[in-house]
Amino acid sequence: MTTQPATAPGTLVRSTHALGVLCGVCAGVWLGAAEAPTKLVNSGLSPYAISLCMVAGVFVARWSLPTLLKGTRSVFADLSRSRQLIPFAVLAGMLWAVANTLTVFAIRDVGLAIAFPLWNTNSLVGILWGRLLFGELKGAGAANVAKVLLGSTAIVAAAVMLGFSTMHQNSAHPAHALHGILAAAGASLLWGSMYIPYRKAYLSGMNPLSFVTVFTVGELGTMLALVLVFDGGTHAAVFHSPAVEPMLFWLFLGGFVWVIGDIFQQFATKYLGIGRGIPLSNTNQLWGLAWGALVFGELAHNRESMLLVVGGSLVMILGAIAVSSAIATARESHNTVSAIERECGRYQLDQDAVKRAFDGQSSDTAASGRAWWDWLILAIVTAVFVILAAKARVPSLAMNFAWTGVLTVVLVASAVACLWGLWRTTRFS
Amino acid sequence: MVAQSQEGAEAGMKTTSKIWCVLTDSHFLIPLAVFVVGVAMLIAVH
Repeated sequence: MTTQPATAPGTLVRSTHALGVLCGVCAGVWLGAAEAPTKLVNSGLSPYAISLCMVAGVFVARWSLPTLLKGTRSVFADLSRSRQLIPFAVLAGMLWAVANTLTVFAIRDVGLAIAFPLWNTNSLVGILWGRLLFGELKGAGAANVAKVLLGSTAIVAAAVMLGFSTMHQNSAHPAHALHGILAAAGASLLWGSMYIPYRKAYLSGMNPLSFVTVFTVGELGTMLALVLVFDGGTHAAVFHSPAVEPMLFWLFLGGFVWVIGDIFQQFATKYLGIGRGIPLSNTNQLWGLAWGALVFGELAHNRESMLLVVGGSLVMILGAIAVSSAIATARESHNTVSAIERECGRYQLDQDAVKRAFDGQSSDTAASGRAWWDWLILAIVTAVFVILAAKARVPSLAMNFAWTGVLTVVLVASAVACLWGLWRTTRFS
Repeated sequence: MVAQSQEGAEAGMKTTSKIWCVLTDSHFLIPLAVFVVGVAMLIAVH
């Protein structure tokens, strides 16, 4: 079905690079917006409970828009071809859930001011793994290495500046400072290492939509286990409290926005690699702040932090431009091909098919198209969201609806641009 | 019958060897080790 025109290697690298940059930026927009619906939740439930509900939303939402993009037949055919990658995707979901929980303890023990910069270094950990395990940036040339390293560091620094601008209080427990630092460093290590399975999957020819499907299973299973072990077992409030039902819609909505952002992040990792894709999607801090400040008025009484906001935003944009402009050289692309060959040799994969899939040129005619059950799945997921919306409690929180409209238009426009680019260039391969 | 069982054995061996490949793959072992460290940290800070 996906018959791509013959393309010169250099042109192909440039076109997939541009597509990857678009996906990375779009991932930042969506991952940043995912925080917005959760601001409407004020239930007094534990962070474990909130995380479990949001991850359940992610799991359900995975079967909404993504099912429309590529039917389940294609996803399961891909998973069946790449069974060896299923444990990797589950493991990535497990890493995400534990890292997310560690951040809760880090904030509790040392406060956001110390914890946030520490766990934000995850993209630098990712760059290190990308270099050591997949030969990313190997043979890239001094200019490209400098662009990626300085750009990523600038994005981390900017995220810290933007984070500081919204910090009003420090609820730290000084007695547990070491625990808090440990937890924040752990979250950075776990999130940074989560990108190993991401990259592995794409170097083996897997489709990002298939990877996300299994990833959400690992994420939900681990979050459920954490609630059972650490949050009261089957007696946990999340299973019994009447406060859960009215807030579920907002958390599921947050999950929906998050999973769309994550899919764009996966495509960015596929087409740019860890070193370039993850720093770009980490610009989500900028968009999270935009929602907080413009829609929820979080900076209204904190005018003195404007310098941090403007400075942080500029530094982040410059960092993103630096990373985006580091197009892989022929020597670096050759190392990527070597990494693909390693995977094909190890798992006896069809090298040509994997290379085509990696370039977004896979053809799965037999498994393309939507089946009747895809429409049934879509109808069920839509019904879940409609039922939860009907039961949702709208909190009496001051919101700027004009800015909500503007940012929603940006959100939708970025997704349309990205989906169009993915469809035109790769047919979502 | 014999051919079928031979094919089955080969398929079985193939699956076993794939599992072995995963279990000895540094791309799996490193994140797995990091996950174990993460859980240990979670238990320590809880």
